Amino acid sequence: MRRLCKLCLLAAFFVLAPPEVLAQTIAKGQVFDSNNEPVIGATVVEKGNPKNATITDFDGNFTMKLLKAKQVVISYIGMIPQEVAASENMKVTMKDDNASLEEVVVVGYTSKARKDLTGSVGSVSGAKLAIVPVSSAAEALQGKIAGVQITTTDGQPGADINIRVRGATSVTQSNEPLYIVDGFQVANINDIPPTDIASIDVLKDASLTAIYGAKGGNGVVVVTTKSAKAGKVQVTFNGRLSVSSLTRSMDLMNTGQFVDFHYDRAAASGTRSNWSRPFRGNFGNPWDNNLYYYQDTNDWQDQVLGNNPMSYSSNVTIGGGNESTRFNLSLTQSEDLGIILGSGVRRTNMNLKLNTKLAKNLELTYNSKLTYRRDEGAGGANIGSGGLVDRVLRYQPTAGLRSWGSYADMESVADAELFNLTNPVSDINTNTQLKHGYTFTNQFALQWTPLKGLCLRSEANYTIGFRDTERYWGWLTSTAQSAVHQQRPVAALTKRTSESYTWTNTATYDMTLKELHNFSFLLGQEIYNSQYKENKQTAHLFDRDIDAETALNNMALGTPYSSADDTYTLTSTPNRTASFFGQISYNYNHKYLLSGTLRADGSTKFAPGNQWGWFPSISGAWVLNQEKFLKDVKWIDLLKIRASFGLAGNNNISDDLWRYLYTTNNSGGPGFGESTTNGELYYGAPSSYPNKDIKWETTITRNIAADISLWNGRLSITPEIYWNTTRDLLYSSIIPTVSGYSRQMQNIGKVQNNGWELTINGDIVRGKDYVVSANFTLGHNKMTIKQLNATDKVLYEKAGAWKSQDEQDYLLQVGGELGLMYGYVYDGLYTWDEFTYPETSSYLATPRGKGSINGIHVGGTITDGYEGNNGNGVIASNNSGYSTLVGKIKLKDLNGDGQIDKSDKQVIGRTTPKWQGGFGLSGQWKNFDFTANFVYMLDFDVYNATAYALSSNSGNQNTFWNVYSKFSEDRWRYTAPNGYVYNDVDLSGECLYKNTYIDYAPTTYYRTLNANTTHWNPADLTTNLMIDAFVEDGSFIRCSDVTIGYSLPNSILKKISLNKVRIYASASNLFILTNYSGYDPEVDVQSGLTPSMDYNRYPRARTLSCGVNVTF
Amino acid sequence: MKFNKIFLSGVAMLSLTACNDYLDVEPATNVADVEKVFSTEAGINTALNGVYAKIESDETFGNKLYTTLLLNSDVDFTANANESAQGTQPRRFDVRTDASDVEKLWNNLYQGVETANEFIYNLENSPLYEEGTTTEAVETANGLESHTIPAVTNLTQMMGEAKVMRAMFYHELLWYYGDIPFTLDATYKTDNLLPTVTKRQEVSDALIKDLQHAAEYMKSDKDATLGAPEHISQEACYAMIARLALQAGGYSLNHNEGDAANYTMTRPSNYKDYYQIARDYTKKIIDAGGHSLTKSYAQVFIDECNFLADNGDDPIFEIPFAMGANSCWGYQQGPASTVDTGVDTDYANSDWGETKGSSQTSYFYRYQFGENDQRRDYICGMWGYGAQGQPTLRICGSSIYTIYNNKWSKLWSNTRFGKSTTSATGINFAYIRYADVLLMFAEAENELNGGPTDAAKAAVKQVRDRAFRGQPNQAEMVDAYINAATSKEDFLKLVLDERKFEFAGENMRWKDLVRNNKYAETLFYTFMTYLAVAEDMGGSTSYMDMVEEYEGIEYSQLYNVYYYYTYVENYNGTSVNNLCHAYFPNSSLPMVYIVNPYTQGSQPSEEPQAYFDANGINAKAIALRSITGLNASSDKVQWYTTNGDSNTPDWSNDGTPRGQVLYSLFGYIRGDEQTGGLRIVNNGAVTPFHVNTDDPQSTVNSLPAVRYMLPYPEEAIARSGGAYKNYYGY
Repeated sequence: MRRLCKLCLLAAFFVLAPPEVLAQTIAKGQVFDSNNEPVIGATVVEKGNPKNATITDFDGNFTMKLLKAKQVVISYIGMIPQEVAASENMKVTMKDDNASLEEVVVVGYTSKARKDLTGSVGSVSGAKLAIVPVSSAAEALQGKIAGVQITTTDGQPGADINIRVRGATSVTQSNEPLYIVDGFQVANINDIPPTDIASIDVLKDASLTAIYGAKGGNGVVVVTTKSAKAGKVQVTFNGRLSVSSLTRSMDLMNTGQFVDFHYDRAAASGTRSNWSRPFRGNFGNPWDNNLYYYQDTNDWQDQVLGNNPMSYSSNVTIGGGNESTRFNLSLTQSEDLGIILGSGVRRTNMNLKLNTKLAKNLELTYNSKLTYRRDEGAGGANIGSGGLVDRVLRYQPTAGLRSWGSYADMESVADAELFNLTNPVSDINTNTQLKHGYTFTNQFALQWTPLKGLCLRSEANYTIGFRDTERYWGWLTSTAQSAVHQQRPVAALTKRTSESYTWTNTATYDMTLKELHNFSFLLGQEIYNSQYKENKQTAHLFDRDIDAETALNNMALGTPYSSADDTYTLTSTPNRTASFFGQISYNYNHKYLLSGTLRADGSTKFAPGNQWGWFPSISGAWVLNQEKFLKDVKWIDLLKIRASFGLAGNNNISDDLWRYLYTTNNSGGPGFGESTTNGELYYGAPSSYPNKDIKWETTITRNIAADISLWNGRLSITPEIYWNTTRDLLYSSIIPTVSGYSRQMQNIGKVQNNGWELTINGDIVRGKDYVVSANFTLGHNKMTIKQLNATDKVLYEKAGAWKSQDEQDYLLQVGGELGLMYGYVYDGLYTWDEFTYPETSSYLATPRGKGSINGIHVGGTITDGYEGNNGNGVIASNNSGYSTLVGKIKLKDLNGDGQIDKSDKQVIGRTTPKWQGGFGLSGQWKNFDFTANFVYMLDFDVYNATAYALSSNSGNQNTFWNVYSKFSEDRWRYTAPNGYVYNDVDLSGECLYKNTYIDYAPTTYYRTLNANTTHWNPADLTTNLMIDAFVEDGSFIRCSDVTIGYSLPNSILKKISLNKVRIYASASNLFILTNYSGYDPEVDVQSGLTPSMDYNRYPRARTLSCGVNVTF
Repeated sequence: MKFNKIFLSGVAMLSLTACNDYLDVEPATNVADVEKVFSTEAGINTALNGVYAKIESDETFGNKLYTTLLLNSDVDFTANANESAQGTQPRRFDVRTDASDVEKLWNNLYQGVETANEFIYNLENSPLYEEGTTTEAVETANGLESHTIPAVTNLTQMMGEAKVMRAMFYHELLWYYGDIPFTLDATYKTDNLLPTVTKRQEVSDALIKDLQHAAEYMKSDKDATLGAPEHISQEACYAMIARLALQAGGYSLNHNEGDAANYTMTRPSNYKDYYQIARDYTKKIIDAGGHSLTKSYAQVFIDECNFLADNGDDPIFEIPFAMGANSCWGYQQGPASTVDTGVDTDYANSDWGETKGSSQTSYFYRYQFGENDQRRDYICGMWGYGAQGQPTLRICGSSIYTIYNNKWSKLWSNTRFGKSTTSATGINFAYIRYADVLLMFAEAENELNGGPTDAAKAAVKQVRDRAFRGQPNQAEMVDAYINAATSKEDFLKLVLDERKFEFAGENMRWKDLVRNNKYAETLFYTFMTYLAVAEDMGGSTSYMDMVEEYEGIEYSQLYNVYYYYTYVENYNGTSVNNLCHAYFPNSSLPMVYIVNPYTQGSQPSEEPQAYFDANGINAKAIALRSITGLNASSDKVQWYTTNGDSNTPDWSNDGTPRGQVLYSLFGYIRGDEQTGGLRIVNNGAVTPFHVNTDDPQSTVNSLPAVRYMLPYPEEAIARSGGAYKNYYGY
C-alpha cells in the first residue's frame, strides 16, 4: 500500500512540477497540522504563479524554488490555506478548516456559505458521526439537532425510522421529511452506511424547504457522502464487532406460582366440569400443586430474548484521483442480529462516486450505489404466531402433566408432542419471514460553467429496486389453523420491482456589484416519476412436515391459493411530479440578506386543474455584528437575526383518489352456473369516493431565529421560534352513506404547530493537546388540531394491534393535540363495605349501596355487562361471578349514573413529549478521544398494554397465560394457598368463594384471606380496556452512546507505514433513566394516530462494540 | 449570457409543453378505467357482475334480510328472553338508531343502489348503447301487419337487469324505512351526497315506470342465451313490477302529519291502480306460459341446494350465489349441525361442515297446514345434529321455542362442503318464484273484482295442487277448499294463508300482513298462543279457548300425547311414507322417524316396537334401533310436557311463563314478569293491556299499529346536516 501511495504521489509530482527551473528564492520547510503531525501531500504554490507548485512529502517537507514572488500559498483539503513568506527554514502549522462560519451548506439545488443563510439548518458533521459506531445514519442524528425528533418504532434491527421535523404537520398523511443524498432525492436514508457520510444537514423552515416545493413540507434531510480528495489515494478500513443484550426483563411467575394462580382461577370459575377438567387435564390433581414448585421454569423471555447475538460491520473505502478526476469507492458489509431469536438485518453496500472534468468548464459526476439488504424475522408482533406478548411473555412456563408424558385420552388436552411443537422457540422456527431487497441507483450530473458565476447543471437519477418477501407459516401457526388452510402450512412469496427517476435542470448565476451587492439567481425545472410492479403468490395445503425453505423454493408442492389478497399481479399508477422553481438571493456586503423563492409543483395525485401548487417563500437576515455599534465587541463573532415565511405542500396520499376507477375483484361475485370457484370476476366501486377537487395540503411556516457565535467560536447559540399552520389538510372524511360510499378524501382540517428550539454548542475547555466540547439541544412543540372536518368535533381511533373492547382508544378533538389516550379511571378494588356478606352462611353475596338500578341491586357501580344494564357494561361478568363484587376492579363512575359505560371515559394520557432533545460531550486528550451522547423526551405518556396483558387473563378455560410475579403473593384470592391455616382450620387449597357464593363458610375465612390485598386477581380482568392505571409516564433520558477511542501516535504509525489507526470501544443504549416499567418507553412516539402503545414491541438492546478505523 | 438565455427558455418551453402529457398517467392495473370498461360488451358484463355482487352481500340478500331482519310473525320466529330493551333486535321491534344491523342494512342497500345507478348511468352513456326499434311482421285478423317493437340487445337486457336489481334495493328500503332518500342518478354523476327524502308512493311510481320501460327491452327467460333463472329475465322484471305495485297499493306505517311521533296504518287512495298494475304484469307472466309447478315442492329447494338451476319450473329469478364466495342459504336454514373444530371429527355430518339452523319458524306453524300438505312435511324440521353426529330432537324446552326451517340446507347437497366450512354455501335463493306470481295475481284479482274470479281460483289451485299432489285428500284439500271461499275477505285470507304455507323463511309473511293491515292481529294471536300454551303448562290459562278458536287448532290436546320415534342410522333413501318425513333429502345421515308428529295425526296406542312390527313397515328401523341400543322409554316423546316432569324443561318456570314467551315480540306486545300483566306498545307508549277473552274480536279491533319500521341510522341523521329526520317515535 505504501508503495502505491508513493507512486501516486510521484505521478502527481510530475504533473504539478514546473517545466522550467529558474531559481531565485528557495522555499524550504515542513508543514504540520493542528496536532503537530506532519501534513503529507499539502500543496505548496508560489503566489501569483500557480504553475510553480509542489507537494509535501511523507514527513511534511517541501523544497521549491520561487521564480517571481516571495510568498507561497500552502493548502490542504480540510484546512485553511495559508500565505507564508518564503524562507529556507519554514515551519508552517495549518489550521483545520472547521470554522463553521465559512462552511458551505447544501441547500436546495445549490450550496451556500453558512454565513449567508437566511433559514434554519441543523447540521451534524461527518467527523462527529465517524466517532460513534452506529448502524444507521439516522441513529447518529438522534438528539443532535434541535427540533428534529428521531425515533425508531422499536428495537428491531433495521426498524423503520421516524424523523419528524418540528412536529407533525399532517394528521393523517405521512410526515416523513424529504431525503436528499448528494443532491439527489431518495426514498430514505436507512441503507446508507454511516461510515460513508460526510455530513448531514436538516433544513427546517420554508425559506430553505420551499425550493423543494411540496416534498419539502415536512423538512428536508440533506446527506452528503464522502468524496475523495484530489492528489492522493487514500484507503480506509472500518471494522466493528458488537454484542447485544436485553436491557431489562419482566418479572413473571415461576412454575409453582403459575400453577397456583391457575388453580385459583379454575377453582373459582364456572362449574366443576368445564373449568376444572381442563385444569386437571393439564396440571393434574390440585392436591399435588406443590410439586410444581420443584419443577423447572421455562423462562421463555430468556430463551427467546436472552441471547447475546454478535454483529459485525466492515467497510473499506478507496478514494483518490487528480485535479481532473476523482473517485471514491466504498464497500460495506454488515450484519445486525436482533436479540429476538432468528431476527436480524444483513446489508451489503457498494457506493462509487466519480467526478471528472471533461473540459475546462465542464464537469461530469457519476454516482452508483448498489445495495442489498436482507431482513430476517417478522418483527415483534409476529414472533411465532402470537407476537411478543402472547408467544413469549404470557406463554405458560410449564407444560404441566405434558412435561412428563402424554395424556392423550382427554380430548381437551393435546399431547406432549404438541407442546414441543408449539412452544415459543419452536414456534419461531415454523413462522418465518425473510426479506431481500436490492437497490441499484445511478446518478449522472453534467455541470457546465460557461461564464464566471454562471453554472448550468443537468442531473438525472435512476433507481431500480427489487424486493422479495418470503413468508412461511408452519401448520401450528394460527394462520395455518384457519379453516381455508385446513391446518396445513402456508407459504407466500411477494416480489416487487420498482423504478424511479428524477431529472433536474438548473441554472445558477452569482454576481457581485461594486463588491457590496451580492446577487444569486437560480432557475430550474424538474420531473420525477416512480412506479412499481408487484406480484404475490401464495400456496397452501403443504405437507405438514415440510420446512420453510423447501416450501418456498418449490411452491408447486402446495396448492395455489388464489384469494384476491394472496395472489395477484399489479402495476401501480405512476406517481409523477413536474416542477419549476426559481430563487433570487441578495445580500448587501453579507450584512443585510434577503431571499425569495417560488416553486410550482404539478402532481398526478390530483385531478387536472388542481395538479399545480404554488409554494413561495421569503426570508431575510441581519448580521448585527457587522454594524458599527457592535464591531468593536471582540467577543462576538456572529450575531445574526433571521426571519422567514413560506408555504410548503404535501401530496402524500394514495394515487388516483381524484378519479373514478373500478376495483377488480375475483371473489364474492355472482356464480352463474357455479362455473367459477369464488364467483365471477366483477368490477366494484372504489373504496373511497373519488374527489375531483382534492388539492395540495399546504403548510404555512413562520420562523424567527438568531445565530450567535461568541469567543472565537467557542460558544454558539441558536434560538428559534416558529409557528406553522397546515391547512387544507388531506383527510379521509366520513360522508353520508346514502351516497353509496362511506369515505372520501377531502381537504378539510387544520393543525397548528407552535414551538421553539435551542441549540448550544461550545468548547468547555480548550488547551494545547486537549479539548472538551459539549452540545445541547432542546425543542418544544405544541400541536393543536384546529379543525377536523365539516361535521365532527371529536373523532375516535382504535389502537391497531391492541384494541380495547369499545375500540375508542384515542381521541382526536378540535382544540386538542394528537394522540390523546381515552379511557377509564381506576378507582381501586370494590371493598367489603359496599356489599352485604352474611357472616356464617354461604348465601349469595348481596351487593348493597346504591340500591336498585333497573331492578338489580348494586354496590357502588355496575361494571357488569351480564344483566341489568342492557349489555352496555364494560367488563363482562367474569370468572368468579359478576364483575361488581368485592375484590373486583372498580372504575370511576364519572357521570354518576351508577353504571360504568362509554360515557365514563375521559382523556387519560397525552403522548406528545413536551420537551425533547439531546446533549453530548466529546473531547480529546492527546491520542484519546471520547464521546457521550444522551437523548431525552420528557413529559409524555405511554400505554403499557404489555403490562395490561400481564395483569389480565383473557381467553377461556383452555388458555393458561402467565402473569407478573407480583400477583403471586398479593392478589385477590378465591382459594386459600397451600399451608394456609386460620383458627386452627387447615384451609390449604380450599375454594372459599365461587361464582357469587361463599363456597366455604363462614365469610370470615374469605375476608381474612383477603384482608391486606392490594392487587386484583388477573383472572378478573378478561377484556381489553383503556384504564389509566396502565398509563405510565414515559419520560426518559437515554445514554444513547459512550465511546472511547485511541489513535496510535505518529511515531508508531510511521514504523508500520499507516496513516491513521484508531481503536475504540463503545456502548450504545448503555442506560436509560425512566420510571417506565416496560422494556422501553420509546415506542411509536408521535407516529400515526395511535402513538405510544406498547404492545408487541421489539425491546431495545444494549450493545457493546469495539472496532478499528485504519487509514492507509 | 445570450446562449444561457436561449438555453433556459428552450428548456422551459420544452418541459412546459410536455408537462400536461407528463402528468396524465394510466391508472394501476388492479383498477379499471370506467370509460374503457364501458367500451366493450365484455367489460359491461363484468361491471354488471358488480351489481350482482351487491345483491349477494351477507348484509342483504345473502343473509341478514332472511335472518336478523326477518321480522317475527306466526311463520318466521325467533325467541328472545331479554326483559329489557336491547335496541339491537329488529325481529322483536326493539331497535335503537345506533343498532349496527340497522346501519349496515341501510349502508349496504344504498351501496347497492349507487352501484346500480352508476352502472345504468355509464351504460346509458356508452357509445355501444342504443334503445332502437325493429319491425316485425305480425299475423293479425287483417293479415300480416308490420309492428314496431323495441330492439332487444344484450346491452338493453343488461340495462334491465341492473334496473331490476336497483328496484330490489329500493323495495327493501321502502319496506324497512318507509319514505326514503331517493335518486335514480349516480352520486358519481351528480356529486350529490344527500338525495332528498321522497314519499314512498313517489318512489314506487318512479321505479314502476322505470321498470315498465326497461322490461320492453329485456329477454324472455325462454331465450336460451339469457341463462335464466340465474339472470334476471323479462318475466322477473314483470314480477318485480307487480311486487312494487302491491307494496305501493297496500297498507304501510305512516307517521301522522303534525305529530311526527305517532303512526297509523294507511294506504293510498288510488290503491286500486296499483293492484291493476300488479294484476296486469303477473298476468303477462302467466300468459307467457313459460312456467309451471311441475316438480314437487321439496324438489324445487333440494335442486337449489344441489346447484341445479331449472328454467321453466317454479324459480323465475334465483340469486346466483357462488360457493366459497357468498350465500348463507342452507347454513342459516335447515337443521343445525354443530361441528366441534377442536376435535378431529369423523362423524358423517361433519362432512358438510357447520350449519347454524338459526332461521326458524314458530313452534305452532306446523299445525296450521292442512293434513298431508307436502310443504309441512318438508319445511318443518324437528331435529338437528350434535357435534358427534347424533340427531337431537327439538322438544320444547326452556331454550327451545321454534323449529327448524328445512327448506334449504347444506346437508341436502350431494356436494360435501368439507369439515371446516361454515357459510358461503353458494346455494341460490329463488327471489322470484312462479308460485308468488300466481298468488300475487290471485290477490290482485280478488281485490279488483271484490271477490274471487275463476282466474284467481285457477292460480291458487296451481299452487295448492302441487302441495297435495298424489295425496288421498287432494280433491278435498284443493278444489273443495278453494271453492269454499266465496267472499272477498275469505278469499283474501285463503290467498294469504297459501302464501304463509308457501314462503316460510323468504321474508314474505310480515310484508303480506302489513300490506293487508293484518300484522297487529296476527302478532297478537301469535303472542297469545305462546302465552296460553306456556301458562297452561304452568297450571292454568284463560286464553286457551280464544287462541284455539282463532286458528282452529286444539293446542290443549297436544299435551299428554306420546309421539313415537326411532333413530335410523342411515335410511339410504328408502321410502318412509306414512311415517313423518317423506322428505328428508340427506340419505347418509342418521335421521329420526316420528310417527304422525302433528296434532291432526292419530297416535298409535301401542308401544313403538309393536307399532312398527304390527304395521310391518319398518323392520329395518327396528333393527337399527336395537343396534343403537336405545331403550323403549326413550322412543317416545311428549313435545309439550307439563310442569313437574323434571327431566324435560318447559316454557313455564314455577308457573310463570319464561322470558322467551313474554318478550319475543317485545316492541309490540309483551308480558311483565313482575306484575303478571300484559303490555302493548301504542304509538310509542307502553300501556297495560287487557284481553277480552269473551269477545276477542273487540280486543283485536282495539289493537294499535305495529311499529315494524326501522329508524334511519343515527350516523345517517348525523351526517345529513339536518336534511334527514326520524319519525315513528325513534
